[in-house]
Amino acid sequence: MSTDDPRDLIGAFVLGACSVEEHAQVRAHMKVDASFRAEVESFDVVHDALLEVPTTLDDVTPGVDLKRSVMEQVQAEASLFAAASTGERAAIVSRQEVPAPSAPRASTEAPRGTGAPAPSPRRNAFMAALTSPARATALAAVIVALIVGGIALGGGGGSDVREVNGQVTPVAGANATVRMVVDKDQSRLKLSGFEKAGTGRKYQVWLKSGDAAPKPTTVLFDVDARGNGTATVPGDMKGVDDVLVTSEPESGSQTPTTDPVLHVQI
Amino acid sequence: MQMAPPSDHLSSLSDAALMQRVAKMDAEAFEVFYDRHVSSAYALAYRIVGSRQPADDVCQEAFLSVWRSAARYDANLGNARSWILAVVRNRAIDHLRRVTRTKEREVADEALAERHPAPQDQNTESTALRNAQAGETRELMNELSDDQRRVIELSFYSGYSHSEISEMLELPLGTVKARMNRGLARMRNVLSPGETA
Repeated sequence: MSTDDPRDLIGAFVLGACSVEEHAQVRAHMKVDASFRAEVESFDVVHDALLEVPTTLDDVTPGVDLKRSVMEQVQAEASLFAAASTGERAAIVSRQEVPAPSAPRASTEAPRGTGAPAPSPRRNAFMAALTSPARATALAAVIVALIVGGIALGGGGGSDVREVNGQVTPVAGANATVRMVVDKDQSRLKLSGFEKAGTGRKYQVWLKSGDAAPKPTTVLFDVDARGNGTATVPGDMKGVDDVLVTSEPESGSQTPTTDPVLHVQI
Repeated sequence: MQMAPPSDHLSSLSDAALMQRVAKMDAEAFEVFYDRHVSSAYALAYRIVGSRQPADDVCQEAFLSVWRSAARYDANLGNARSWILAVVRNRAIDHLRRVTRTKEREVADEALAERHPAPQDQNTESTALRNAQAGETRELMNELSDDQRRVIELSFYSGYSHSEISEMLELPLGTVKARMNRGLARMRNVLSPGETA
């Protein structure tokens, strides 16, 4: 965690330009220092102003199909909802069971990745109680959509950061371990006890989806003398099933030239 | 799909009242909310992603996200317009990161300037007349020094972190932070005279 004065970070925090650690630092300080919180929140008006951009620039208008496609989806989900029984509707609407959102303000908008609802026992029971497979399927689709919406919503609260333990191969080192912190915007591999990649070589991160060949990333790194290393993988891990790391020439490769030293199943 | 226009009654409701209905999956109320904010949402998305199709995609994702999460909306924590716009911004920045940053932030500064022409270069006088809020924002940005405006635009509209901006502009990180702080404080002072920095 940064040791900077949190006040130095207010601007970056409001603009969504902090690192994850700095964001957490500011949030933590807001909880314990009311005047600091007030100062941060005094910039909400600026954040809201920045969101307002001219709407009548030449040719910058919503496409004609945009409303139709949005409303078709909305009306389809509303129809499914209407077809549900009263109890079922109550269960769907009771989305407040998920962790309550924090304010949809600048301070919660960056970094994003907040708002992962835990599975709801009530919702699970509701699903189990459904007797009509067709209706269960339809309602399940709605509920999944609702939950996904809650997860993906940038302004939501809670946290969808999760940590996954990976597997290492013997070549990585006798005591090697790896964990991956998966967040919405970026993920971080944390290695310990690894052998160095080798002279003129770097570790390279690969992303694998299904049975497709691993796709190269430009993330190249090495561990330090104690075998510890961190690699930040930008972007959303949506659609990625596995993260692999191989030792490659220091400029990186387009296809893996060695066997993976680690494997993290997302 | 034929869509009948929403009722006048709904059109007269506040955003907060609409969101209460949307939380109960009222599609008509959502349509009113959509009509009320889509232009601003689209303009913001376009401002960030720079072309039509991605802006359409961003807006579609954002509005559906709000539709599906309306029950979590708390009017005490912010207005619904800011909420949808913040969601649009997040989705647009996500799009930028997916599309342009797979090569570890190799986007050139010049390319950024091309993709996101600086507001002061746009002919928006008539726009300012027609859109008070947007015009106010433009004027606010014009309150800033070029240096301050640059770091604020790179972060807010292009999604770069302060450390990335520091590298890109070859400036000390502290300088970038200071420009952000001073620029935002200046904007806040214009919007809310009397607030202290």
